[in-house]
Amino acid sequence: MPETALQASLDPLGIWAAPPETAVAFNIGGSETRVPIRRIPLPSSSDEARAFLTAQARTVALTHQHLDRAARELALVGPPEQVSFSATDELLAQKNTLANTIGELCSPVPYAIQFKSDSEEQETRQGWLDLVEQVRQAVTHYARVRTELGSAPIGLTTVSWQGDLQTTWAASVGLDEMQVHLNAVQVALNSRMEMVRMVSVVAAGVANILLKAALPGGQWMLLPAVYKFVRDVLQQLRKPPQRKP
Amino acid sequence: MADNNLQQAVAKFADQLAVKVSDFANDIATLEVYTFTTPPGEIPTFPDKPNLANLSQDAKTSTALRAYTRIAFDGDMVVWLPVNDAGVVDKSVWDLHQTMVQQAMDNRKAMLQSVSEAASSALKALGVAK
Repeated sequence: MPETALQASLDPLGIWAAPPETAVAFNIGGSETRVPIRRIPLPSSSDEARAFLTAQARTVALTHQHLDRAARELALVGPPEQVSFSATDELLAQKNTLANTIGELCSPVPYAIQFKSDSEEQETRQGWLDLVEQVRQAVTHYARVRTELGSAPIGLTTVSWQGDLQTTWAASVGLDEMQVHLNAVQVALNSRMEMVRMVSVVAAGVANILLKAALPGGQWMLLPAVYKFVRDVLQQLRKPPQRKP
Repeated sequence: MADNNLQQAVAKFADQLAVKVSDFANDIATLEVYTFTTPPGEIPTFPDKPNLANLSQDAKTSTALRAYTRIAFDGDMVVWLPVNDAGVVDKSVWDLHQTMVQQAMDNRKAMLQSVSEAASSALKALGVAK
């Protein structure tokens, strides 16, 4: 996939407000190339930067829990004739949508998956393909994380997927700022890990449903539906709980 | 047709991850962590692993290697310690470097697990789908 297409896709986990940028990289020999880089602009105060990163780390940790929940729910999905959900289930709408899709795919008559519109179906399908491409790139290329406090660069860390790590510090930065950069790197790496997990959860969910429900054809139509389920579950669980009247 | 595209994307993805996991067995022999410093505003982006032998000849940046750790999984370890102008170990840089070594080890373990699970799940889905 061209880099521009990857950049245009939104973060399916909803952790980062902006997609990775590209930057010029210098070979030691002097040649230049463009590489993807996660630039993390932070408030100029170390305390505010730490608070922002703590909130981001919490979002990543919650995403981990929410993906676990989505995986558990997908493991419980069975054949359409065995579907029954509690009316008070916070994921009722998402489960109903997925169950309807599975029911339609199990039907011997021609089916039409229950997306709201063709554009939603296209968007979901493309979202899945973009996610797969992002994960593929994550294990193909080095992850680069660059932090800035205000407009001042602190450091740049490059990580191979095997874990080799190189960090370059701006010489004048203090220990506090260095720690902020290390925290930012950890948040970025953890969010990359959750992106990989999201693919696992979707693929394992599809495999589980296919094992339990006899689909006469179009098994791969299940993929965007399960991806949509996982994405919608993340969105739903991220919402603050509603107060009872 | 769209069905085929999705299937092909998953098949390609699973194949590539499986190759990555397989390659990992060869690459896991060592773990390297580099710590550099550079003048403010001149943080360079290296496209791949820096070549230590050439680094001193690098005219494009003023990057200086301050600490380096290479851990071989047979137990051998190479460590370059950072020293200040007086030749004393720069503890602040060294402490941070050690934190990064731990971070690199933890990240390697977690990433291998995540990628292995993703490849396994994708291959399972491919196997179940006809």
